[in-house]
Amino acid sequence: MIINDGLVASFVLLIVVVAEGLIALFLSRTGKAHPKIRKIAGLEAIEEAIGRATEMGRPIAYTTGLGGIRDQYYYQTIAGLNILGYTAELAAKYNAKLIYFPYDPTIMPMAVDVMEQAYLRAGKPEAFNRDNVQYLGGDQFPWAFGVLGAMHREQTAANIHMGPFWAESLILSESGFYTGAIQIAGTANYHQIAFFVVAADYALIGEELMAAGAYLSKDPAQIGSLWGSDWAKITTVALLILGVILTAAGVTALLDFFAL
Amino acid sequence: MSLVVKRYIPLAITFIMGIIMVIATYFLVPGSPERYATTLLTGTVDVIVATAGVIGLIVLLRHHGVNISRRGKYWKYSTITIIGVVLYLIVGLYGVATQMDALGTHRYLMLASDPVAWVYNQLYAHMDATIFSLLAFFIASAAYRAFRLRSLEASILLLVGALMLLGRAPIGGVMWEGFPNIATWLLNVPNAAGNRAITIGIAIGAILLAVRQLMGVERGYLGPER
Repeated sequence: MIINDGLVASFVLLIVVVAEGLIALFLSRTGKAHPKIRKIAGLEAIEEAIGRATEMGRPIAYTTGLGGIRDQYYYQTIAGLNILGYTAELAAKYNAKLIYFPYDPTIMPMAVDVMEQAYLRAGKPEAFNRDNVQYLGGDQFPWAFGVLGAMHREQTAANIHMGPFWAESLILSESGFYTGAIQIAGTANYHQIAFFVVAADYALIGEELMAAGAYLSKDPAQIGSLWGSDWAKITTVALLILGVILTAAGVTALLDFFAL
Repeated sequence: MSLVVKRYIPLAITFIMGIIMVIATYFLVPGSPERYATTLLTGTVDVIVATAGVIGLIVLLRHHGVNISRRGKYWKYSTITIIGVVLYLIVGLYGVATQMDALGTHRYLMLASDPVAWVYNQLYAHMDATIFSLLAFFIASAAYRAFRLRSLEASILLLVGALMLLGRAPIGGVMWEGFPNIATWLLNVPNAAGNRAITIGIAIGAILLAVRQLMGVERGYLGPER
């Protein structure tokens, strides 16, 4: 067997999902399809949050959770950095102070670069201050309380949390609520989504976080791939229904293929 | 810096490394020399991490050092931070220096020495646990706000939350033996269904995000383009 044992079904599904994503991407890029995506309230609210911070003359706190580039949650951190670029550009335009708190030092150089370019793009490179990227240490609760302390001391008007979060999600969002800040949070760690939904003003649920970069870019190719993800979800649900019917009928071929 | 260095080289590295990892996972037999070679590639991340750790330390010391020298906002807290960092470093180096033989092959690990283990276990672990335990109070205050009867959704949340509490707390089972069964059903059926829907969406979203990044279509993590 060319494909490693036990990974055939996984490989086939990967190919199906990637193919659907690519077909939708190319259809959209070449103008043969014009997919529309629904509004994501959490992302639309970022501008409102920055506007509010500008009016109040108070800073914005931004975190990308406990992610780095060396773990399996990196995709959430990367999604968080995508949104950081957008947020930094808006902050530069509005002359608002944006403070970013990295957890993992490996993210720091990337974040500095993203923010620097965002300020450059907004036409205000001189407004970027490297001291606004504040490293607080790489341990879960000391970092969380460092952010919490900074939010209280600086009296942030907006707190944005985008990335992988664990137990600190509620500590950050609930204490942020008591500072009176507008809060926007998103994570793909499903056990923490409920905390953000309850404690933050706007929450990005799971895949909305991964779609953020494409959503904010307004690039037809990227939006096309989001359309492709809908196709992949329809395929998955169809497979689930087919599996239920076949299993009920006593046919185990699909179960055997997926080794369930 | 030119566009080639800032954009195209990182994108090329991302694409090549991504494809190598996919090939390694699906086509290279675990334990084979080829698969081992790819694990060496992932080991290069450790080099980045070690370097980034030093950068993190410098940034931390610089930020608080500048705050102290300017007598900035809450500069006294900055002093405590710097004292903590420096003291822990000294304790670590002292531990390695005095326990060189006892540590043996682990002498490069500061954490393996007794003085560092003492500071960690007697101070750090307790402070960490204290912070973690505060979560219980945050959960209570968040639940209070979420469970207020403001809308149909909040009412359903309140009802389900109450049933879960009664089902999980020992008193619920004493009051009526059906409460634990209801809680188990809520957890295993509607909750599991919702979780799986979210998980499927996340998995597909993550795959297509990776595809966009490998193809260089999504480059936001390299900074917004001019």
